[in-house]
Amino acid sequence: MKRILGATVIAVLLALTVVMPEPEPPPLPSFTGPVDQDVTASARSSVWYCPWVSSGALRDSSFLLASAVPVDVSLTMPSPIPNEEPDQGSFVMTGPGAQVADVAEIVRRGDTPGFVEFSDGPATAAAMVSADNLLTGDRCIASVPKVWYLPGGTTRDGRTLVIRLFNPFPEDAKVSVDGTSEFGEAGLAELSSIDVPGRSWVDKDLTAIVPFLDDLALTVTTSEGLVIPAMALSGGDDEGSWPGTAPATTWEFPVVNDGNLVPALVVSNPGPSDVTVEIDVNTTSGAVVAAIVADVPRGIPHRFTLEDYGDEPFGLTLRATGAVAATVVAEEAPTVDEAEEAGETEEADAPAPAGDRIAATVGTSQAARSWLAPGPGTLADAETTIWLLNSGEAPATVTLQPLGEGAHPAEKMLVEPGSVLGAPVKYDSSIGGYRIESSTPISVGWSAIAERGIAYFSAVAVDE
Amino acid sequence: MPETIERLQRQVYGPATIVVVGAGGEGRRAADRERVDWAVSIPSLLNGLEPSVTHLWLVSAGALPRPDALQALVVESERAGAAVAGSKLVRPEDPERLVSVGIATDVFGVPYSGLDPDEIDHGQYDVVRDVAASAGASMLIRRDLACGVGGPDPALAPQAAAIDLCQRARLRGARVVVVPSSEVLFPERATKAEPWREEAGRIRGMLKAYSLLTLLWAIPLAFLIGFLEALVAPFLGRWTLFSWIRAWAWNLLRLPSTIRGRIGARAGKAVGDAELFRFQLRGSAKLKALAEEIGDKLRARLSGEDRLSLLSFGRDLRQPAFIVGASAIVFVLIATRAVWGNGWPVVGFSLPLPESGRAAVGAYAGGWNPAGFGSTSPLLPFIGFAGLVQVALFDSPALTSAVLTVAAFLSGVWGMTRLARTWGIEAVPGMLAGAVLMAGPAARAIAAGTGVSTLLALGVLPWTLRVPLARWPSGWIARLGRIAAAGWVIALLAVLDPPLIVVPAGLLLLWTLLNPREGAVWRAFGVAAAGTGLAIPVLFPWLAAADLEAYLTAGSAYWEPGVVLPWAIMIAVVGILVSAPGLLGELAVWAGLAGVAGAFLARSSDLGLGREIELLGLALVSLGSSLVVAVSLEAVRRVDLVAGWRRLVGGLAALGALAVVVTVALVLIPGRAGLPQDSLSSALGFTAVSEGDPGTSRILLIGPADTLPGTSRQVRGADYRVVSAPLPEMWEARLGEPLLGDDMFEEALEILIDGETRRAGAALAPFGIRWIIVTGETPLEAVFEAQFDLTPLQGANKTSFLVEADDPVRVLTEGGEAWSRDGTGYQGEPAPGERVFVGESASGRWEPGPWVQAGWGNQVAADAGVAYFRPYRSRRTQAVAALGVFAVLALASGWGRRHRP
Repeated sequence: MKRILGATVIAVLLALTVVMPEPEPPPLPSFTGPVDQDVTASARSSVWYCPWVSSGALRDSSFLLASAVPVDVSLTMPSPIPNEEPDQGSFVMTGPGAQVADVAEIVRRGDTPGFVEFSDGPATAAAMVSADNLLTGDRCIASVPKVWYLPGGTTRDGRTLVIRLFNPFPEDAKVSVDGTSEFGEAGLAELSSIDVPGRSWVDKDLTAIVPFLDDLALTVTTSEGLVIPAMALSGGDDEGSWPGTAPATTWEFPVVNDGNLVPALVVSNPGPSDVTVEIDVNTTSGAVVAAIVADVPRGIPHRFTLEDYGDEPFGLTLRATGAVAATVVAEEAPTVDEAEEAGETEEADAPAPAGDRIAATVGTSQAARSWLAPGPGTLADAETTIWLLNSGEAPATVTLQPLGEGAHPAEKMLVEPGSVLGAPVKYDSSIGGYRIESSTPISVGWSAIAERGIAYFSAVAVDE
Repeated sequence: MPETIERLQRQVYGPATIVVVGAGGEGRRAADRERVDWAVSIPSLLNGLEPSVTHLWLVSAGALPRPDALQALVVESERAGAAVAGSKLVRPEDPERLVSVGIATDVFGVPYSGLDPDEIDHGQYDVVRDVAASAGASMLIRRDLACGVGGPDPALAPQAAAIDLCQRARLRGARVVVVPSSEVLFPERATKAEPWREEAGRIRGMLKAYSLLTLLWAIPLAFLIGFLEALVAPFLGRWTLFSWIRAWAWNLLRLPSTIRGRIGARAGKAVGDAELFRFQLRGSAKLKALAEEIGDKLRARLSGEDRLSLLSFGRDLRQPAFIVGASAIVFVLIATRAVWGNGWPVVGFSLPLPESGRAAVGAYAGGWNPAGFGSTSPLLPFIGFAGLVQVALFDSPALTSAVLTVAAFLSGVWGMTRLARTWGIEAVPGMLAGAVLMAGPAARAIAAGTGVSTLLALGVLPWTLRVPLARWPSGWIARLGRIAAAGWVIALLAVLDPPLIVVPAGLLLLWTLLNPREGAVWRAFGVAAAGTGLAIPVLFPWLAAADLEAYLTAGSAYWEPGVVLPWAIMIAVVGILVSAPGLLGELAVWAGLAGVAGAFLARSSDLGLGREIELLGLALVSLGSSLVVAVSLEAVRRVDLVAGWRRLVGGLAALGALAVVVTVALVLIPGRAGLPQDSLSSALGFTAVSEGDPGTSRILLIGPADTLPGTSRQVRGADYRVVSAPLPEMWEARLGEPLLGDDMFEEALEILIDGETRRAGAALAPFGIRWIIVTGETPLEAVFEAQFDLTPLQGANKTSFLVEADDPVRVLTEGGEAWSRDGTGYQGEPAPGERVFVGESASGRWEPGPWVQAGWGNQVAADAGVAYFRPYRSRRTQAVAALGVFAVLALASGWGRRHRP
């Protein structure tokens, strides 16, 4: 009896034990990695990477800084000598404010890619390089993805194209650079595996590797570590430089052809299939909607030359059926003599360009109501213009607030829908940049035209 | 004394004079009464003797020499040319029984008579021969030698003094012989004084006689052998620890006089130590006696006394107890061999013991819990217990873990054998059951889950049932001692694994329900219940301070036993339920219920129960399955009781049991006592050889929870753990309640996850983090990649980063000096007038004052060069009381055992 009872209890307990459910698996982490910094300036600390910076015997560079709040600023430029401490500078910037930090005051040793750390935000940085016959620059980069796209390059005769891979982190990076040209795959075998040591950079002369290509779009893929790439196109004296971007379905270019340069929009389609792009030409009097509609096949960069759209300043709005990368590269227009030879008799209002000048910019992938533009008005010898593009359907009332030492009156202007408006900015040593506020989303850029060169810059949207 | 003097006066070979030597006033009075001379000491006697006296005959008071004793000594010593001659001692009450016929010693001076107890004198030793020493009760010594050696050392006990005198004599080239024809009646008990006095005398004798080279190894060895005896003796019913301590302390105090004695002893040295070794036994007489005693005890406790028959295992299962016992020891040694040298593998909750046992005890007794950024959560009793053991074992963590593991395995195997014998189960089934208890499927599951303390507790578990079930003694002292024994054994079980405290009384209650008419069973339950009640105080202060609900619900209880083994056990259970006779069948029910109840508990995560309950359940499964094995194998050998179809079924049950037994090989082969392979030593070991003192910093480990040591914390669902460099220690296994330091650290990690800074090094250095090591797949790894001040380390076993920020240390003075760990406190160069930041979660009990909270940590004065946590006085008192209760229970148990008729 005892055994039967015992066996029964054992059997019941055993059955209960067997059917006991498994515990719920623990919840997965709510993140897969660090939150990547946005392309916009947001209200928190941030780091901006500026790969194309050089300060030495021939060139001068400066970091153009702007912030909506008081911030601590730290500038760091890794040394090219392994294991040597980086060159650093730090200061407090009152905010809202903007200022120019001359690299030469910290170090003069030639190429000095670096990064800017802000203790708070919104804040942003841009970099500018100048020499006797050179002016170039663009906004710096905050977001650091593993894959970058850099369309707009060319290695045709008379041009030198360099890609810089900047690794500001301690970990060595392994990078592969792929390229496509008008002929398809560009065959960059020697760039298929590049080691970029930690806290250093590597420059590759693409003209020497793949010469005589009209269009060269690069894709930089990082398998280990992280790099920030930048492209620089020079034509002898002046150069245009631009950073890498992520692809997007919309792009806006407020500045395209200032300085009498002949612009081209280069679109690269990294996606799996062909895409259709529509390009609006935003003039000062309105938009030519869908002025260009074209199919951009996958893997082949497509250059849209824009010289036929007049000498008046204009901007561009691009819409694509798939994510694309886009860059505006503007190169020097023909000289007066050449124009006369061709029967053209236009007078140039701007100072006569000297040398083979180039400017480039990556534009912006989103319109916004608030922008920071470090740098306009800081060049004594250049004509600086802030360009406002309103791709929307309602007029935009835009306030331009100078940032710098002391108080400066703001300026208001109206930008009609579909149009672009240029706001000339005078040089003022107490001004370091501008904050632009708009009643409706717009995109902002600025240009600097000087005798030594021309540069186009993108402003940075402020995250609201 | 009067009788002795009378016997001296009646000697055939008349002495020239009789002198009472020593004994102070009492001796002088005795001499006066007997009308003989008195001298204060041998040297003073020698000074006063007439030149015609050639020999001294030293006779102890109470000795009764035969009339021809002196004549025999004189004649034979002269014939042999010996300067010292001793008599044969026999019992006064029974002169046929020998007491001493010369003494041999080992190198440590431990005497060895060579006589059997109560050996009868048939004249088998009646030959004059050289000996190491003769008994001091009757010794003839040549006068010139006596002048040289100065007589017996008055500081020594009788036996030690005799051996010392003979050694000093032989050092001067004298022969020492025993003359059996010289008989003296002398009670055996009077040949020696208290054991500690004799031990002290032996040590002093070595120090005086041996060369320095011999002393270099002989003294340490003598110390160790005495200590080993002190460790083992309690298991043999003796207590020698205090004697051992007293003997060495006595020698320390008398070292100056010993040195003087040594100078005198070696001044006239004519031979070397080799001569002294000539009549000594090889090895240690003490160890040999200990081994013999252990063997006797084992043989007495193991059944299967038939030493002559050795039948095949498959037919009869009877083995000589000695072979079975040896097999058990071999099994244990093989199963635990990897633990001897390296301690426990560093994985999960299996971590090295702290460097200082004293610090561990202090931390348990109201001190600081050093896990993570520290807390005041109480440490488990196991930490205090292991710390105490470690203090006794030369403060060696590796030795302590090895001793605990081996002792637990031996205890478990032996305990199951004794428990099985309670029901008449023979040695072999019992031994195999013990192997299953410690290395069977459930035990392996405990070990695989790195439940080290539960594994050790398995070794105690069978004793907690055996003690209450043992035959109830007569006499109230013995009975009280039995209850006390139950108390301390259950207390030990609970200290190792607190939830197991309910097992003995619970199982015995179940046994009573199966045998409600057995009064002995009810009594056993009562003893267990009383023992459990007595054991509870031993769990303080942990029991009072711990959050028991959190303790019992942390983690999740879900054991997955596989398919094959549960079937094997079920076949065994069903088989013996059907086939086993009488008591064996009831045992099968009991074991089955215990096992299945344990399995239920081990899979009770759905009821909200945690890891500790899973371990409790596994312990029950282990006990139940081992009992099933014992019963199955015993049933199959009961050929007289199990016949016909039942025998077939019983055979199947035995096969099922054997299938379980065979799996213990899975523990034997790796030799880690079932514990998993070390996974953290190789990952973290490189920090030990880093620049500076790695112990001043911490390591951040990131990875899945099952790759991290002990318990872990989470940040947005990703697990992490902060541990001490270079390796976390056992007292860091369980994190306490999160305090300010933990909260601030989590905030810092969230800032890094949000990408708000790329300077993780600067963010983590203030927390003392110097390394970040990735133990497995985790999104946190991507967070730490691409940081400006974290350098990836090449060549490390796991992905690792080095923090490049300033001062990634736990404790830092205002002057920038890092202090190193000292237990749970810190120490460094005193910095008068400065303050020191202590990187532990803020608590006002950090000293020395004045204390100030500095962010998440503490700031205290750096004047003294130390920073420490002021322990909770109440907890400390409770810990002392707990130890006292345990000691009282153990002493009462021993006292009761002594009074067992």
